[in-house]
Amino acid sequence: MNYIATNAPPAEKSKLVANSHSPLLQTTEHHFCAGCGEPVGIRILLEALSELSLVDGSIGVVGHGCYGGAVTTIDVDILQCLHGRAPSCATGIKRMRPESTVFTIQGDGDMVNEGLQEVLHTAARGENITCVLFNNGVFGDTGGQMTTTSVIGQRTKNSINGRDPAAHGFPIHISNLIASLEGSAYVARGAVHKAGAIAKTKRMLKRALSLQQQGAGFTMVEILTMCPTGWFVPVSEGGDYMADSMEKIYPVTVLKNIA
Amino acid sequence: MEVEVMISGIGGQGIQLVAKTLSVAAISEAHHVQMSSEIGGEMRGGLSISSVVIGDHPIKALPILDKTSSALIFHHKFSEKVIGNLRPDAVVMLNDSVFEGEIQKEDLQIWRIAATTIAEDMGHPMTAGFVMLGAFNKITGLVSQNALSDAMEKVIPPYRKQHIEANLAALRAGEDSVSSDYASIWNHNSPLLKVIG
Amino acid sequence: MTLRLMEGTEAIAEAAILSGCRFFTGYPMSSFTKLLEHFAQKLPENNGVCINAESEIEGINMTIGAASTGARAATGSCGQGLALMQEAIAEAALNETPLVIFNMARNQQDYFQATRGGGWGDYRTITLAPKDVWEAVEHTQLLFHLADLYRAPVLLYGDDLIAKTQVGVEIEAREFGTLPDKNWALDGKLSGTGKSRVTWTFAWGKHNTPGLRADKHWRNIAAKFDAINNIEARWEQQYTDDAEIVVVAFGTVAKFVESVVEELRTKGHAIGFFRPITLWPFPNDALEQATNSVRRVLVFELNAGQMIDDVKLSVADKTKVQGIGGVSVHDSGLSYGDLLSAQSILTRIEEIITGDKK
Repeated sequence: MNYIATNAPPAEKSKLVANSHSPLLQTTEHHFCAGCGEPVGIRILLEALSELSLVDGSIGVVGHGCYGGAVTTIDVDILQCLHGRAPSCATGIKRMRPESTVFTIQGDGDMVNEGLQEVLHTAARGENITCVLFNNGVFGDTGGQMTTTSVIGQRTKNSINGRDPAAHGFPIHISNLIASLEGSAYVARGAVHKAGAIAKTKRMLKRALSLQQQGAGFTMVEILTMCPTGWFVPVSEGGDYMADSMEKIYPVTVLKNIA
Repeated sequence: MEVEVMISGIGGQGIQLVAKTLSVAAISEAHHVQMSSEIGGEMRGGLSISSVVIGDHPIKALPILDKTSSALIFHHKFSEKVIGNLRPDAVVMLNDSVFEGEIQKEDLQIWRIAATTIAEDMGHPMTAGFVMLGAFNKITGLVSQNALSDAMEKVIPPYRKQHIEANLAALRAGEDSVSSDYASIWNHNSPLLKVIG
Repeated sequence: MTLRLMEGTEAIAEAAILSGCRFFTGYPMSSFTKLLEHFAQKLPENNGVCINAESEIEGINMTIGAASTGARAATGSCGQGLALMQEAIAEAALNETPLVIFNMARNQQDYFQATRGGGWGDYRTITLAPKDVWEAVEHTQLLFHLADLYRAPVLLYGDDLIAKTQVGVEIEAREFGTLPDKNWALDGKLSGTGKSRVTWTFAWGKHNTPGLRADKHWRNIAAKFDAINNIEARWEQQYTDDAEIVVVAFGTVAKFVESVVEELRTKGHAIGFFRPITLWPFPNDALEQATNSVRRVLVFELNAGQMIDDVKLSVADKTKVQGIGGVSVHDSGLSYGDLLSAQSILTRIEEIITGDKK
């Protein structure tokens, strides 16, 4: 594995390699780092809403992480909530507007660290909402610290020699936990490091949102997202790094599908 | 006019049920009512005091009384607080079957009712509270006897509905246990008037 | 007028529902628990939702979510539960979500918690402290109005006595004037139109419809609370015109103090009574005027001395101010202690009067 040399400027300038975006973005301007998986996750979520004709009446609840700034560009009514509390806020929204399509966007720090009980209780209650987790195993927004989902051996700024179970405990497999609850209707784990994975993950999102429309119960899609900045790996190697590390611990699969 | 009724005893004697019955009866007759309760931590045997205030205008009394014009004392335990609050000439009804000792206070109108014995004789010892209430209300006339019966039926929880007949009988037995005629405070012939002026 | 016998928590729940409250969350905690039970029973019968929140943190955040859609929504707790809600109370103040919080406090030791709060940022919490169940019914309705009027979280400082005292009460709808449209309410109808909305404490807005962003937004919020401070202070005063001593007290405790002051008046003492009805905004100006020419300002509160800080901020000559209350809780820790009695209060005031004569 190559690590970014931080003792000199990048050898090559960044360049635009593709330009297409969801019509549900008010602008393509963004603040995501090169190689970030989150904008891909946002894009397929918005495409899923559009393709299911669920945009009208959709309400999002967004937590705090790098994706948080995207509330200014996503053209959906949004409540930007406290760290960790998105499933609770979404519960209140959905109960008052049961006809709407309610989704949350959280990172692993937001959902699995700060808000673990929120998401578990919301799932157990079978709230008819769709929770989307961008899991990159690191606090990207604050600069690359360990989260509960950081994999064993992962180097972060506060586990600099790699996550060590003796010192830092073991990662939480949140989707497996949620799948074990009777209130969850659909739980899937996708990824956005390869074209095939992206297509598959989009199908997962569409399935989850459709089930919400049918009133099936709690639905969740965990999306493994690259964070080369927070992982301290070159942008072009983010996908491979993820396949080698996170995906081995968190396999891409549908964990629960009640229908 | 505002009349205080403090009811004291130990948990399990039905203090709160009796207080609620009197309060609901008073409300049903368009009186103003306040009922506050002090209950110890235990379901059985702990402190249980309820203070009911009935008036013909919005209640001014504080939710914790330090004066009362009448009292129903179900047990000697925890009775000191109520006895200490009795106004001069207060109407006091004692459950004579249970209460031990004497009330060291002059200027009281005391009735002694063998409420538990009466209730036991009818085969329902748990209804002693309603014997007390029936007797007390006949003497003081805070509410009509019908209102009291109706209120009891209303406040009995659904899982205790089988006790309604026994409770009604207890109210009647309490009324029969005092020789005086039914006196209505609202018709100005109740002994409570001596207390409240 | 048809009175119904209701305990305070039931009367508050009915008043809330009459005010249009359709969402409630709660986590059992004495002396708040019964309020949750009444909402759990009554809201479903009134086309509303009551959620047995798994924690106070979740409860208040659900309430923020419900309120963000424009629904009238409330939550409640006391003491430690309110402590857990502090972050969200500040959040609602700063993202301008109206919500009503019922603090059925166990005693008066949470005055600072209510009026200062432990959240974050420049915010205030409008706090009404009723003296009895009847006033709590009125305050409940007023709070829903104030929450919507100012788009802010508002708090009822009730207590154990208000919670459990049963009284004959009629719940009548009250009118408080017209309110602005809730054009900020999230309903998803603007999603995909290029004009979608965002509710956010940092007020960045959307790309197409930029918000004020944090600096200007938070200065506006501060200005709003400043305006509320000048408008919404409420109080009650008795016999202050010719009083040499004024006793200040709040909530249920003030009702006891008021009765003692009335008794002392009948004994010929030049004593008056002042009760802040809003703990924030505190009626500083009114208290200053009421105490300008008095000899003493006595503060009776059942805590180690919290409201007395606000009293000292109001009274021109701070040396006049003296606390005569103190910590007094039932040994269970769940309700008031022995100091809450008309006799105890009378004794404490008479000691001062006697001392002054010597």
